[in-house]
Amino acid sequence: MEALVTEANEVRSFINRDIHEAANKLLKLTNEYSSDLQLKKRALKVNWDLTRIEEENQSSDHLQNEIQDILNNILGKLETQPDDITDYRTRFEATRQFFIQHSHDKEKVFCGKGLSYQYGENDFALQPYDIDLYLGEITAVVGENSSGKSTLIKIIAGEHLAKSGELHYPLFTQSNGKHIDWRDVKENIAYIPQTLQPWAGKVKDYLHFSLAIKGIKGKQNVDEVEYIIHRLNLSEFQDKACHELSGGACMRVELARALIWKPKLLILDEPLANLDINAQAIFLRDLEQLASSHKNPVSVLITSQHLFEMENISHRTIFLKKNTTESASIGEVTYNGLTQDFGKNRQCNTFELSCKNSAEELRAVLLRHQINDFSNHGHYYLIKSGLNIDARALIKILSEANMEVSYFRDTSESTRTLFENI
Amino acid sequence: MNKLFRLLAFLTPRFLTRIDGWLVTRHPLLWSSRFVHVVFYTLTTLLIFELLIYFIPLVPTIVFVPLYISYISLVFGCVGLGIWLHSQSQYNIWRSFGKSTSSFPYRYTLTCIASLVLFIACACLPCWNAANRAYDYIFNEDIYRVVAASSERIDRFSPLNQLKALPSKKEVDNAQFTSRNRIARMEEESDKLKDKLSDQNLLAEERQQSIGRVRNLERLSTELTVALRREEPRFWILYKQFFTANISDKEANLARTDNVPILVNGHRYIEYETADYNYYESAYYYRDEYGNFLQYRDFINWVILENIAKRLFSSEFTSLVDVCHGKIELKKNEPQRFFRTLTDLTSAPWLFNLSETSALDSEFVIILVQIVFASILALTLAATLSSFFGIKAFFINLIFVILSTTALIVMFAVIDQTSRHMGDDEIGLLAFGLVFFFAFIALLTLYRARKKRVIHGFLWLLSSVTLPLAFIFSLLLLLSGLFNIDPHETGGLMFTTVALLLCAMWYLPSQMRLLYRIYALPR
Repeated sequence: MEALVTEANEVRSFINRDIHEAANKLLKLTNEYSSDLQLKKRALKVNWDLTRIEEENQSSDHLQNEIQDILNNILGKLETQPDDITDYRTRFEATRQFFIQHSHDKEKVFCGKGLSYQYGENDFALQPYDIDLYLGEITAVVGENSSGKSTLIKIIAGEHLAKSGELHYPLFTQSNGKHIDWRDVKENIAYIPQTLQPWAGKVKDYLHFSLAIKGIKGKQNVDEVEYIIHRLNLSEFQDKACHELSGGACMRVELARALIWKPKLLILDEPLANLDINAQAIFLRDLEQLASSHKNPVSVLITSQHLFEMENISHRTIFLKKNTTESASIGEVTYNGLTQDFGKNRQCNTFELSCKNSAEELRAVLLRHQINDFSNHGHYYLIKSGLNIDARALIKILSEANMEVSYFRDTSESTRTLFENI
Repeated sequence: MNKLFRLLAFLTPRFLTRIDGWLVTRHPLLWSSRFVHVVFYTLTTLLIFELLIYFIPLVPTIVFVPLYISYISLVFGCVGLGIWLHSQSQYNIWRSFGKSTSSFPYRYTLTCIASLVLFIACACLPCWNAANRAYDYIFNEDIYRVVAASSERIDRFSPLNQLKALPSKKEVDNAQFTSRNRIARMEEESDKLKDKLSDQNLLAEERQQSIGRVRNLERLSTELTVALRREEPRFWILYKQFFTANISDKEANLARTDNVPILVNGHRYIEYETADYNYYESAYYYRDEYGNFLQYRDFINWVILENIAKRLFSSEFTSLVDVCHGKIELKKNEPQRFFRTLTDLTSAPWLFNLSETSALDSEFVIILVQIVFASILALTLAATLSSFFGIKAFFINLIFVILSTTALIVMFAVIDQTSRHMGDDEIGLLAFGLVFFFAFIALLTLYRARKKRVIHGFLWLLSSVTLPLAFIFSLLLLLSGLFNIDPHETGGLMFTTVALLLCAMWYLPSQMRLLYRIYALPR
């Protein structure tokens, strides 16, 4: 109860400052604390209306009122509940908070040791690697093309059989690492491949069916489907068939299908490929919320070429690099750890920069400040500097030199540096 | 295909959509099987066509019109089955990895079997009924009058058992057995008979009476022959009616099966029958005691009709059916017969006489198709096993191919044999139909799934379908021989149905569980 009130106050505090954040937090709050589908749908509608209003440059005053109203409704419903239910909820909340505070170690969903894979005797081989996945965390798999990202996640999804190593799914099945009941595993994980399989019938029926075969039937089934349709903004597609949808819409339907039954492990292979920039942002935000949900935390394993977006949302990052020799090509895990820890022991700072001035002008400015590692990457320049020159200092240097900077990114703590062997 | 589905969606009644909406949230399995749609569309089609066939008046000139109309239901049934299979490949229940209950495989098996039965009923029943109605009409209205009129007159005739045995085929010139020659020969025989009668110093009255009767019978037999030869389908119908009408005893029924030795006037003929793929041109043929082949038409012309004509003089004659079957010597249907047939097939002495009859050509083609089909399946099986167990050695694959080809040929021989054993066009054909049906599913799986998972699916289909079939038909064949159960009778049909259902209910669910596991296996 206290947590709810605190979170509600937090939402209220954001209403006037940042309505987007308020709407976002409201959505999370309704998900966590309310069982009323209508309230959830209203919170979703606020989010979608905000996107629309922004595009059309309209006023968002009525949405502020709507957020207030939803909050009042949630709190009001709690207050009007009988004492025993309120007591129960209070005790439940206290217990939940206790567990959240005292569970220092997150629950492990998957543990793999020495996993490797080989396609053919002289074909691509993925070198042995270790990997752990935890509930409530997003693990991003990034790297070069053909470095084995999809292969890596397919091994975890049970699509490929690892050539060596041990796999454990402690939440789903008891195994000795070698002999796994894949049926049990696959019943508990949601895997969305890069190439989607077409389905028959309408989107809504497909979602109902997917949920029903997972054992959620009747009214709950109807409510959950209605909610996910609103959440992923699939209302306009709900009566359409697979062949009538675009690639992005199909991916969203697949996501809805994967998320609807709240799996413990969600594996996504290049889900952003078919989404536009707005849809990407919404999708990543949703993913973050779903993973960190108190009620149903999910472990997310995701591959993508959208490096920076992945680094923004992921707790852990796995970077894969491809080494080609005369006889074969090998995929190696070159980084596997917390995203925030990457680059802590770096030797230099790196920046991506694009400006309207010529390369010579830029080089001259940089050389004046002893920055001589400078390379042209087509649309942008890659700059390496000593640790004494950080992003703020570099921007200052450039602005003092009246350089017209059109793009700037500090990649010092990004796995982006691994692409360049920095 | 999308347009077709859209059209179907448009044609779907509202109540079905409502039921669908209810099922999808509560009974996903039933919903995904599209069973409600199957029931609605098949029963509606069946009802419409049955009513149509029943109410169309039969006129001699257009006696087969209801049959032609009923073919539309056959098309509907087949197209419906195709659409249903397509939908089943799309709602891949295995790929979804749902929370399955223990009763799930049983329910799924029952739904699939029920859907299959409905489609088969929708496709076949109207055709079956229309064909029967047409044949009944022709027999009752057209042929029976000739036959009955002849029989009545024949019944009043006294016995004359002095006829010579028919010459064997080797001694027979084909031209001799045209109907004109035959009538001439009959007249000649009548003259001889007259002489014989006179030689025996019979009373003049009796002699005159006998001669009169003989002439009368000659005329009748000529009429009968002309009537029989008037039109090809009718000829066949008459033949069919001779062999099937009023058959109540087992022996008579067995006369229709394969390899039954038939004694006609002391000459031994062996009847062969290819599976009845084509209703009108069933490939019957006979081998005489000299090893010569006769097409069934020749056999009927040279042997049976001659015999009928001669039996017309006989007092033993009571009905035409008896004429045909009266002297047929039947052997008990022993289980060993299958092995004998198999030996015949594998040694295939008839392969060298292919040019003799067209019936053999079709038989040869059927066997060839079976061998090719078996080889393809065997290759798939070999590839499956090698990929499943990681065996790559070529010679092991080769052994698999040889062994499984042999096994499958034996299996097909069993099915084919059962097909002949069971009669014209029922369960035996259904057995083949089932094999091809599941092969079709396998192809669909092949189309839908990918790489090794396809082969795993194929393995499942192969084992889940062919093994029970082989088991059931082997058992049926052995039991029918040992206990003299005729699969064509109601008891036999019931036994077959129960055996099929029991086997399906016992075997398929376990295979489904296996498939569940197989689908989950990493590649």
